Amino acid sequence: MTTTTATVDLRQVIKTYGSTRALQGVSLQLGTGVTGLLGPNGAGKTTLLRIVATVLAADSGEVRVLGEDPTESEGRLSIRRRLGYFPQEPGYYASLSAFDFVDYLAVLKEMTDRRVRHDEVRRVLSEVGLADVAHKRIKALSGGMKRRVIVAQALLGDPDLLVLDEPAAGLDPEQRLRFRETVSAIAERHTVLLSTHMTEDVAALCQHVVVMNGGQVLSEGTPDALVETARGRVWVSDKPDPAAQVSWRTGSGQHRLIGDPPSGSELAEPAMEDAYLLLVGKAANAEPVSPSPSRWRRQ
Amino acid sequence: MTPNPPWHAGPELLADYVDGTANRTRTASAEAHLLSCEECRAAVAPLADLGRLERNLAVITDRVDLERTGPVERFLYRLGVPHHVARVVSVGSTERVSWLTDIAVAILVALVFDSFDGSEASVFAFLVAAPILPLAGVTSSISFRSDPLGELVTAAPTTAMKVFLLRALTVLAPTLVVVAAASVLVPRLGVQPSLWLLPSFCLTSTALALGTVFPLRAVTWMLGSGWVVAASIATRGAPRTDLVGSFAAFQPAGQLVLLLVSLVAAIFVARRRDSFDFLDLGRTA
Repeated sequence: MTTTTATVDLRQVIKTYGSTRALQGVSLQLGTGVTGLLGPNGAGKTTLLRIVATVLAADSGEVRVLGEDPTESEGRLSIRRRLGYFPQEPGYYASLSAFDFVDYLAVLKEMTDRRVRHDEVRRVLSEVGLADVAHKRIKALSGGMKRRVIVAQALLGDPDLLVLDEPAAGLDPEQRLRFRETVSAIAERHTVLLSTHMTEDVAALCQHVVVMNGGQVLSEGTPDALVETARGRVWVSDKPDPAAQVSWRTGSGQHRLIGDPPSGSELAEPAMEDAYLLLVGKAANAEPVSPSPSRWRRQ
Repeated sequence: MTPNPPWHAGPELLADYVDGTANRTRTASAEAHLLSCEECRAAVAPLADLGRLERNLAVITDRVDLERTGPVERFLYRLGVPHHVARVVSVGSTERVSWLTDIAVAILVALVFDSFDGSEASVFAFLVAAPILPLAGVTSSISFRSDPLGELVTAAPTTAMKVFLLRALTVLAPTLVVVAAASVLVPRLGVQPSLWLLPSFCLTSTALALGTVFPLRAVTWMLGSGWVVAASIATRGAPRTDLVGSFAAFQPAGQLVLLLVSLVAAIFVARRRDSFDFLDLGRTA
């Protein structure tokens, strides 16, 4: 039993892989709407989402998803019945058609009545714009279409919680736009937890944003509040400044700098990317430090 | 000269068409006209029984969907296997069919060789090698890496263990048929072709049981190589005509022990089944 009303409630969650601590006492309470999870590679986003999606167990701490305890088999089953999941590295049976692939996962989601199930498969494929290619083999689909197949299976059964781990990775700008439209439509009826590297996705889609790095939550709040943390700390200059925490040369030839501006600097209107970089600093460009799946025991 | 006024189907024809009481000629006429006349389509729409049309569409769609399923799935469905079970079983069936073919070919080769030289060497080699195949197949099929959908399957309410057992059963059943056929075709072999089944159960169930505590891959290698080493040591110096009889695992007492170990391991796996509910097998909640 739990008294929490949050869709996802994590308290002091720790997860380690060998000697690497992927999550270091993460506490989060997430409600309805779209929550964006931002962070560099190795921040712990995927581990966090896997725990929420019940495919990994936390080493310690308290986890409640949709009011259920995933450490109990009954609670886990209840969560899985109400969950849609898009893993970071979704696999495919490439020789199956998109329809058969989604239908197979619909069976695993306990949809046993064939006609009802097939209607549901057609519905979700239509929702992601794949109705016309439903019977094409997955190997014949473009990369963007393949990812939409995975989005489609996540929508099966109209789940209460959608966990999407970098679903827009590898999509071209047009596909990203379509993807945002799809997620926006989904979010009208679902709670969505969306992991991404891309601040523009968060700005466009999310009502709530969580920034992670090094297995810890650095910040959480509304996108506007996150942007405000960078107000007065972004400036432009003709030359780089070693005092800046992060800086880069823009297309106009000027340098955009983030940190503590020297007096007399020309302050710029902050964007979400500025606030994000201010929080995670150079780690945003660092090499991944999280353990690869090859280090898991189940291999 | 004035042009003829446009022809329309008329309420009587449309009503007969919708009821299905119009004869073939009038039906064809109505259909041909409806394709090109928006006015008549608007007139016929309120007469149609939408419920009946939807039911018809559902039946047609269902038949088309069934026709699109693969041969294994259709075969299972015709055998009476529920459609959703047939779907789970048939996904990835290609690999399992090829595995079954391997077993059948191995038995055939062993029989042919032994019929020439009168020794048991080939049958013995087959009996030792055969349990390794399911051991490797089972442990790799339940590990995350081998199934491209491993993470999605794990997150589904149908447990990964249930999916795995369902597929294992579909391999086991035809395997028994192949073994039984070999015994019938070559009576002198008696039950020999089936002697590998219990070692196979034992190795596989023990690997799964230990895999809930230790890394599954390491356990699989340890058990597989241990089995081969044990067979080699037991038959060192034994006559080529009595290799099977020299290895205790193929004797009645040995088979009984293997059966008991298999049962204990199966019970252990059942009690620790929650371990299979996560990607990092062995990390129970």
